[in-house]
Amino acid sequence: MNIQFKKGVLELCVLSLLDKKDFYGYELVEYISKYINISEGTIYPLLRKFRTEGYVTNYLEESQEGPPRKYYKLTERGREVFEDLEIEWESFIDGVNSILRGEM
Amino acid sequence: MSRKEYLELLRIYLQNLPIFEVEDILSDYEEHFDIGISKGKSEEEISKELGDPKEVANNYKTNYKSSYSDSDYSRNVDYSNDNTRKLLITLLIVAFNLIVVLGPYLGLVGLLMGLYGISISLFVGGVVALFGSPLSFFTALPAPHILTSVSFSIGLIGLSILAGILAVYLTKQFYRLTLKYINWNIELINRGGTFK
Repeated sequence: MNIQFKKGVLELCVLSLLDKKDFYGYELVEYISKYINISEGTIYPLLRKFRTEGYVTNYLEESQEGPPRKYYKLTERGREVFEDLEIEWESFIDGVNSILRGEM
Repeated sequence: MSRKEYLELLRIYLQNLPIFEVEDILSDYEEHFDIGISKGKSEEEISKELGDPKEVANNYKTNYKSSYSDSDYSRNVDYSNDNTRKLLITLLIVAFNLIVVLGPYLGLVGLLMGLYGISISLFVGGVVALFGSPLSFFTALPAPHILTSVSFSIGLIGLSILAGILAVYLTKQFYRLTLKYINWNIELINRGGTFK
């Protein structure tokens, strides 16, 4: 599938997951690659971009095993962007489906 | 690919980004490897799942470009070489300063010096007035009354002090603005060369 398209969808997935709870990087990568076939290395750059744009913030939290983990938390701004993207996505999918089913 | 090899390659491909950024990025992957290994995966497996380090590095670079290019005033300048770009910006700023800024700047310096001159001459005038009205040099009038001379003198010296205070105040502001402008120039040059 087209890589730019995949990236756009990936942005939506990451925002959607972070809207539900805070994740640490590995957890997020693991969760997404369970459902989508994507090289995992594309998720960390995306998270960093989100942070630069103010969609997420980071904090460290201790874990039972090993060193503290870097968590990602959605900001208000990130939530707004997610909601807009979700609406866009729904109408896009509706449009594509209409075309695929040949409704004239 | 082992963990060490993967991180080394990533570091090489990221070398155009600022160093603190590179360290921060690498620490994310250190964490990723740590957790992966603690879940029983091998280093090779994790490297493979992460994908080609060159691709990963390119993702960071395109993100960097898109998030900073909006505020980039020299988009036409070649991005392929940081130093060329930095040099070009430096030359542009120097040329701009020489052609546009220098003239008015020296003009302002002249104005300030003039103001000091006014202050000094008013003071001298005040002192001279103590010994007689300057008018008496040109006319045949008799020397003015002592009270006239003294008040004339006080008035002139007062004006001289006011002019002096104004001159010092303006000099301070001027100095502050000059420093600010120089810092801004330096910042422009640095920012122009850092992000690729």
